[in-house]
Amino acid sequence: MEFNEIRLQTNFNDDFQFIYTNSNTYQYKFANLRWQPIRTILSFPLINPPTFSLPITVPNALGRETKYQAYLNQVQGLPNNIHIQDHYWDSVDSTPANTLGPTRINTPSTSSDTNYWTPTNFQFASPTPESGSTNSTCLCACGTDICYCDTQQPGTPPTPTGISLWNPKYSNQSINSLHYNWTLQTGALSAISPSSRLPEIQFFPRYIPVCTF
Amino acid sequence: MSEALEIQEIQEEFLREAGLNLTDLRNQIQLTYWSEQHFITKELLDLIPFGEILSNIRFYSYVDYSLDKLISKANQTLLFWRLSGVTQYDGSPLDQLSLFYDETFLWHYSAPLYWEEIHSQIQSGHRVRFLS
Repeated sequence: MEFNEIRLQTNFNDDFQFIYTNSNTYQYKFANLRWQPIRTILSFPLINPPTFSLPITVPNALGRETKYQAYLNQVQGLPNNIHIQDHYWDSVDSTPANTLGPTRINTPSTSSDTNYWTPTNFQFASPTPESGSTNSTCLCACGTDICYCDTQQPGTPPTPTGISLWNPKYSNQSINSLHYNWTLQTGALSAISPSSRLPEIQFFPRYIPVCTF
Repeated sequence: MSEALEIQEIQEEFLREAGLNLTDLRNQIQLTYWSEQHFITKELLDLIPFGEILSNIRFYSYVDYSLDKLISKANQTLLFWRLSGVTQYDGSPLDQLSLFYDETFLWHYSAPLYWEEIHSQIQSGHRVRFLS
């Protein structure tokens, strides 16, 4: 279970925009039958955090506006407790970093952000062409929502209708009408780190079956 | 009786005995997923607060009291999948499904209801979370 956190980014017009950052992540350990926090990122200031992601600016409703509105009505029926905020241990006494920082669309990695990326032996449902095995494993570096992998997985199914691909860490624009393919892969990597691009790295924007219940 | 019919009856009996209902994820606008399998139990879905803005109280209440329930409900869904014989892309039995929040619903429908309160709470030093 992965949670993100809404934060604020100020700009030079004394205005602000909502951004978000990683927050608490919990993983169930079957070995001891307990939930364990595996990542808690609370050290960044609530305003102008050094690393953040941008919410999408254009809704991708795909003609489902009525459904969205219907579910919104349902959510509005839930108790709204956001105005009641007890002072928890992870609240802060004052608002730190309430100074104007550089307004950035992109958020370059910091050391802590780099540490957040962890190598993962990732088992794909689809076989690799080389082995033909149904249990092929490749090494991936996975964050909360994105994995970078060392081999191509051509068996990856096309992007389902209703899912838009985007890279929230580097742009607030979704990548519309693109299915998973090499063009997207190289383009996305170019935006991230041209110098460190590896020839066979595969990019999975956001949607990849990496979490399990 | 054909094998398919027999399996269907077993599924229905299991769901009835367990008091479970199925939910079609294709109708759940608050989340996204990438799978050809579309059903989980409603009891599991009800425990996953996609699309909600979570105050500290709501967040810690969820972590402290709902995560354990989530496991038992996930196990029921897993059992249903096994009884249904649904498979993954490679033909192996389905045993996992990744769910993500829907950006459009959260950022353009749900969160805008509370922009002022969210802003105020962050300015006051309180964290505002959402399930991603």
